[in-house]
Amino acid sequence: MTASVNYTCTGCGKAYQRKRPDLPVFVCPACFVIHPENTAAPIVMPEDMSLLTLDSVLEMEGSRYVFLGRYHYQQTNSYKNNWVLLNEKGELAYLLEATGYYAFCKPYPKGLPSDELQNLHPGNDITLEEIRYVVDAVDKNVLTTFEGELPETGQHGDSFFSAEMSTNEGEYAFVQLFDKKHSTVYTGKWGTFSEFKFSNTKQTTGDKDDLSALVKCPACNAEIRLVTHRQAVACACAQCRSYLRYDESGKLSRQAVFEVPSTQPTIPLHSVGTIHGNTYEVVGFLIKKEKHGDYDWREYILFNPVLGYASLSEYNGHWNFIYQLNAYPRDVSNRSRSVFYENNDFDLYNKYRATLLYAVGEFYVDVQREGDTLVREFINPPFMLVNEEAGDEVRWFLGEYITPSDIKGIFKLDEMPSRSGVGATQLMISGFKFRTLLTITAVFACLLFVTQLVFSFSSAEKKILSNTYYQHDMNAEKVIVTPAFELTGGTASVQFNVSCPLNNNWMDIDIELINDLTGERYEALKSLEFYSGYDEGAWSEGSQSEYVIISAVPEGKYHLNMYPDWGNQSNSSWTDPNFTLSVIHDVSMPSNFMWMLLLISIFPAIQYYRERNFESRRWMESDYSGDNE
Amino acid sequence: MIGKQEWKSMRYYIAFLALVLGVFTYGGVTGWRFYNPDEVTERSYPGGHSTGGRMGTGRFYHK
Repeated sequence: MTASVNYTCTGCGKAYQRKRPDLPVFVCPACFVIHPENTAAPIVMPEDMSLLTLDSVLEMEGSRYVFLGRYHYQQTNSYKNNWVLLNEKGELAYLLEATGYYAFCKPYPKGLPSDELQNLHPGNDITLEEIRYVVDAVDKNVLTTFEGELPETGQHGDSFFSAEMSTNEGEYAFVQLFDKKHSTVYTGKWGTFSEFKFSNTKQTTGDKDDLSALVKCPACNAEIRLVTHRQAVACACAQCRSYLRYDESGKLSRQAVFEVPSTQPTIPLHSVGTIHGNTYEVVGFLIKKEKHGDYDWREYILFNPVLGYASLSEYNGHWNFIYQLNAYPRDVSNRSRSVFYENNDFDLYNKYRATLLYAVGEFYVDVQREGDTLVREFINPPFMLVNEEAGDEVRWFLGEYITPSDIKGIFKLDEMPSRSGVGATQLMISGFKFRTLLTITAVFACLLFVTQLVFSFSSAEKKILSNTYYQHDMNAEKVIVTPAFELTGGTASVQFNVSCPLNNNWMDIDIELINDLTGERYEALKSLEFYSGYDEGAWSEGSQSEYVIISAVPEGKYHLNMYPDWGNQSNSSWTDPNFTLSVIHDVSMPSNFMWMLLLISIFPAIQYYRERNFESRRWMESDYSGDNE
Repeated sequence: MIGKQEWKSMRYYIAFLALVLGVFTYGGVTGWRFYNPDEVTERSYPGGHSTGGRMGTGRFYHK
């Protein structure tokens, strides 16, 4: 590797230690003169909210990379830093940084086949080294400024087109396009700030007032506080309602003037709150409406120095917290009515292009230009997948419902817009989802079934007594008394099977099970009836046999007192009415299983009905409900 | 995906299901039939009375 050397700036005379003196470009950090050619006009690197500096270090693939310099590019819709890194072997690598998204990459020597260049459109697949990438964005990059030691010189305003590609597994590729046939490819890994091992970074906490910048509105001269500095592509003045955008020379120019807004932000600008454990500051507020609709909604742009941007959207008093996804559904066509993501189906709820009605604060994309973007919203409450497709970019966001009371607590608000209707991602108050409820209930039903099987196989079902009894067996009190018998094996059920040769007749029986020792009685009643005949065919109803169970009978010595009564005895064939009784001890009881099954089905059934009702109200707001298909 | 709020609510339902399973197991072990319409639930003890039958016959212990 090339050893670092001391270097004296010819512009200001200050001495520096250059890490790679062989690199052709060096920008003096004191006077911003570009060495050694000194051909370009010095440009000051604007203060921004990047946590990385020229003193930062990155541990990657077992190597330690120091930061040599960076190129700062303006893209159509946002800004990007391209940091130049150097490891201990003297190898160069690059780190692309854009609003909480980081990609480490190195030159890919094979490059991209020229016939693949025409496939570089958002959403298309490109395969490199058997890795299937999806093109996320194709954009024009305009060099705004640069600093440190760099491998290539440049002029402010130099531009090139690029394509960014990635996989859900974390692979990243960057294609620098020179013309229709020539390109340079860099491949590597993408991740978030916390996924890379950075050190010597700026503090992520501290006095936010020290970090923010004040710019003057060119229309009314009012001061606008920018928290994110030059990460803001555009801003809007609260005083004169001008929408301002940075041009390529870094000056703010007025693009539009908004009407007086219909509502003021519920959450004031620069409010700070913690959502899902991360602290965000509100840096922008937007009111949008559907291009071809007449309802509007509100969006709050949130900023966290480590995570970048997120947003809160509010419609009819329903709130969603939304952030951009780097791993997203990649096999979705424009006509898709549902999307499969993270093992869940999301159903298309809305498709629209938005018109901006009002904006105040600062924005990392040109929000006025978003009218060209086709937005599709897919829901699986409480979650929402939002797909935004512009001509040069595909972006996916994940949203989650947040209750108004949570928002009120997070930002310490006094008043909230009242909630009406059912929100697109709102969960029912109970918080239960029928599908989850059904899954858990099914698991428990299986447990019940297994338990029932165990009881069925383990019950003794011991026959204690079996005999036929006649009317003439009855004593003077019309009672049939059985001999004593023993019930052993602990508390268990006793089943009495009664059968009687009935023919167009009935029989009642009252059975008393009496403990010989304690005198405790257990009693059961049963009626049997059986009728048959011929009326346009043979028919019959009732049964000649039934059973009755006395449950939870302790072990001991018992006998039976039976009080039978027969119906019409005038039939000559019914000379001595009788019945047969068998007594079975410790029988399994499938009816218990059925009752328990019914019991645990009640709540899912109620929830199903409520959810259907709730869902029909939810989908009333959508053009894509099942009724409209 | 299951949201935090849903898990929170679901804990109570799982506790309810566990209770149901416990009651079911208890019923199976003791031979307790939960719904037993033919059984006269008011049990009588020595010196007490049985609930009586539909036939109007006397209830005496004759062994």
